[in-house]
This record gives sequence, structure tokens and C-alpha cells, in this order.
Amino acid sequence: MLLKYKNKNFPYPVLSPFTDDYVGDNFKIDFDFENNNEHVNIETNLKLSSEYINELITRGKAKFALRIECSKSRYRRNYTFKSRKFTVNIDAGMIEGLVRLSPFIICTSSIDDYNCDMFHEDYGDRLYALNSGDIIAVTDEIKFYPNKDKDPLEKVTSMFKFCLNYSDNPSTAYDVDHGGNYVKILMSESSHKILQTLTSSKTRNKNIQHILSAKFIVPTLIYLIDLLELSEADEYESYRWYHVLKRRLDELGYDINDLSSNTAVKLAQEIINDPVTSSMSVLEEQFLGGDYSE
Amino acid sequence: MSEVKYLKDDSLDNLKKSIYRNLEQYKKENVWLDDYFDEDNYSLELRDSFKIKFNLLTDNGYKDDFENVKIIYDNFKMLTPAQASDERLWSYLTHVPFWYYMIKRWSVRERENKDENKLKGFIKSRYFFGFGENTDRNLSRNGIARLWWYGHISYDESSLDRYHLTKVLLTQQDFGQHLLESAFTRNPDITKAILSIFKELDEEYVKRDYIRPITEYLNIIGGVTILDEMTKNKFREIIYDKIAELE
Repeated sequence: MLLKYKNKNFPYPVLSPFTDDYVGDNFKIDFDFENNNEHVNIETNLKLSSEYINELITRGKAKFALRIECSKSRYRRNYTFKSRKFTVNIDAGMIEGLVRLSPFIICTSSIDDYNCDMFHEDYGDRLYALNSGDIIAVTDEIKFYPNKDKDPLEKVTSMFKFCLNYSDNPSTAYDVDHGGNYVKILMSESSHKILQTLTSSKTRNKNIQHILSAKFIVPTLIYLIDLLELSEADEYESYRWYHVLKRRLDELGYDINDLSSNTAVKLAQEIINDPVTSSMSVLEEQFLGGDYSE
Repeated sequence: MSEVKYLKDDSLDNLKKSIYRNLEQYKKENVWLDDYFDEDNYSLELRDSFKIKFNLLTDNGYKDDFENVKIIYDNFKMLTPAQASDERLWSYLTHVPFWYYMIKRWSVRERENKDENKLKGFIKSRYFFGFGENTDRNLSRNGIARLWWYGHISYDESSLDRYHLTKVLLTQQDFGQHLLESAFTRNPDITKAILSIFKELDEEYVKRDYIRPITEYLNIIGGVTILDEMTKNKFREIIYDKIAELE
């Protein structure tokens, strides 16, 4: 959306970082957000150095505006304020995925004599007539992904999905694809079929989960932990699995941005409550028929 | 009666990649996913699920859209926009509980003489989401999602007849679709202002396809002015001026 404003020529001077319509003045936004699965709280602090526009705001002829848009869930609202610092609270169910904040300063009523000393000399002494809603300042858009670790459809949160590997010649029996909201554990057709049978409602055995966790989830988590240690801090923030993992690590007292002091093998088992031990118990019962522990 | 469910990610991937292979299935009257996926492993129950105890009208094609919008929106009003923008949900609903409606309203059999690529594109857009990241089009074209979203953008809680603006929206198929695909109608105040203004006008003005030049004009104005701040009277002035120019 703001790309439109970046390359735009307004029919009158507009304060922005993209043009020199106003010489020496500037308009910027500082922003912070926090959220849980119920609400998204956005705090903004707008910085404006133009005396002229400040005066328009004080006189009630202009105001700050913040358009918040989420294209995936068709959310769009325009919030307006007289003060530079303001907070907006949005129901988390209204947004999903990328959110864009577009800050403006707009006229609140007609201005017949829009002119300022700070205009570029090319504009001379000309007076401009503006209408209510017309933009007089715009600045860089901000994009962010709210940390929603809960799938909006799911009853229970999960970060893994077992999927069929559609590659023409899968080179291994299983592979991992972390490029999406879920971490996909990709399996060959034959393995996937067996998995579906094992986990179907007719044949499901609750002990299957322990074995699957030890066999697939632990190595996948080890892979993800190594990946995060080698990556930039926010590289995977747009994916839901990242936030699910972050929340679990927070619960265990670890910082997802600094996992270097722990081995990935140890962390992976801790994250899903030691599935190796529970799967060994299942195997013991299945194949040895009893308690062989000393 | 079926529960409200949604497709698992890999089931959705599988179905979308297998449209060519499953073309004949889309011409049949019976639901086929249970057999295709070997039992019930392909879907999950929606949070706050309920049993679907109603059918959609199928006799009159587009003319049944208004009643069907009311049925779907009244029954699925608990969905949040975040849930209602999810392909997994709508793809399940088109393929299972509302399959009979889909094969009547968006018949593949009637289009079987079309080029195979076009047929695949048709199935993708009506039975799934067929437009990648272009989410407005995904929602306006999927056979069941469109009914919910038409209800959502036009439902007027302040009126005794909550669907009085929906009637205007659905006066003509292109009109509703075009509005739902315009970015500024993501703001419900703008949508309801535009619909109210068209409600004042004769139905002819909807049918004359004035909506395209009007939305283009509003997009131009939106480059300089924040449309979200415009009053309904200002919208009326702009729309009436534009119609006068077009006549």
C-alpha cells in the first residue's frame, strides 16, 4: 500500500520521507506491539517536527491517522488521534497473517490557505485548497506478524504435520519442510499409508504417539533448533510453528534467540517431555512382555 | 448430518494437486472423499463445531444466492474473519456437507467440454482457493466462502431487516463480486455507505455495471484522501457525480 505513496505525486506539498516537498521537516513513527491469542495491542509514537502542521493539529484543522490493514482476513480500520502516542487494541480473531500500519496526518476540515515556509521553493507562495480527509503527511509503512501460536481452526495447537512427500524421487524415507505455518514431516507413500492406518480411528493405539514422537518429532526438533541457532532472530517469525516453539521454550525457561548453551539433543527431548523413555516402555511391553528395568 | 470440519493440510495439498486425476469425481452426485482418503483421517473437527442440519437451495442458480447467503451466514456467524479466511475450512465444506449444492450451482459436468486447463482453473477457484495470495478473489469465488463473506460485508445489525443491504449487493452477480474484490470495502463502513447509496437508486443503476468505473474513481480519490474518513454524504456526492458523467 505505501509503495503507492512512495512513488506518488500529490497535487500539493506533502510531508514525507520520500520527497523534499517540506525542507528540513520530518514525520516518523515508532511502534511496538504485544499480543496473545485474544488481543493484539499496538502502541505507536508519532514524531513530527513541522511547526506548521503541529499548529494545524492544535487548532483542530488536522489529526493523526493510522490505517491498520490485514488483507488475508479483510480487516481495515482507520484510527484517528490528536496526540502522538496512542494505543490500539484489536480482537485477535479479526486478523490473520501480515498486518500493515500506514501512518498519516490528514485534514479534519477544509483548509483554503495551505501554505508553509518550509515548502520547497518550487511551490513559491501559492495557496492550496484542501478538503477534509486530504493527506498532508505520510511516512514509512510498518509490517508485522502478530505472534498467534494458536491455529484459528484447531481445537489443540500443533506445530507438526505428517504429509506425503510429493517429490518425484524422494531421496530419503523422510524429510522436513519448515517453510510454512506448520513444520511438515514428509514421508514416502508407503510410510505415509502405514502411518494413516496406525493413526486412524479404528486402529488407533495411544502408545503410537510415543513411538512417533521419538522416531520423527525429536530429530525434527533437533534440526529446527540447529536451524534457529544459525539464523537471524526474526527470520521465521512469520510462521506459526515458530511461535508455538517459542511459547514452549518460554515455559521451560529458554530464550529462542539464545539456545547455544544447551545441546539440541537435550532440548528436543525436554520440549516434548522425553518421548524416548516412554517409547522404550512401549517397546518393552510390546516385545518383552513386562518390566525388564532394574 | 455432518459436523463442521476442515481439511488437514496434506489432504488439501493432495486434493489440489490431484484435480486432473479426480476430474470424473467432480461430475458425480455422491460425496467421494471418505473413499478417496480411506476413512476419516483427512479432516479435523472445527473448534466450536456443530452439526449441519440444513441444506442450501439449488433450483434457481444465482437467484438463490440471497437466501443461501442468509442460511450460511446465520449458521456460521460464530466464525471470526481469521477462521473465515482459511482455505482448509471452505474446501471441506464444498467437498462434503455442501457437495450436492456445489455440483448444481457450480457444475463441472456442464463445463466438461471446456479446455482441461480452464476446467482445472474452474474447480480450483470454486471448490478451493484458486488465486494464491490474492485473498479477496479467493473469498469471492469459492462456492461457499462467497456466501459467508457476502453476508459478512453487508449484514446490518442496526436495521430490523439485517439483510436489506445484502439484497442490493446481490442484485447482480458481478456487482457483489466486484465490491468484495475491492480493497477499500475491507472497511465495513465504506461498504455499507456504498450499498446504502445504491439502495436509494433504481435497481437499473446496479445492473448497468456502473460499479466498475465508480470503484476505479474511488481508488483514484483514495490516493490523495483517506476514504475511511469520508462521510456517507461525501460518498453520495462522488457516486452521483460519477453516474451523471457516465450517463
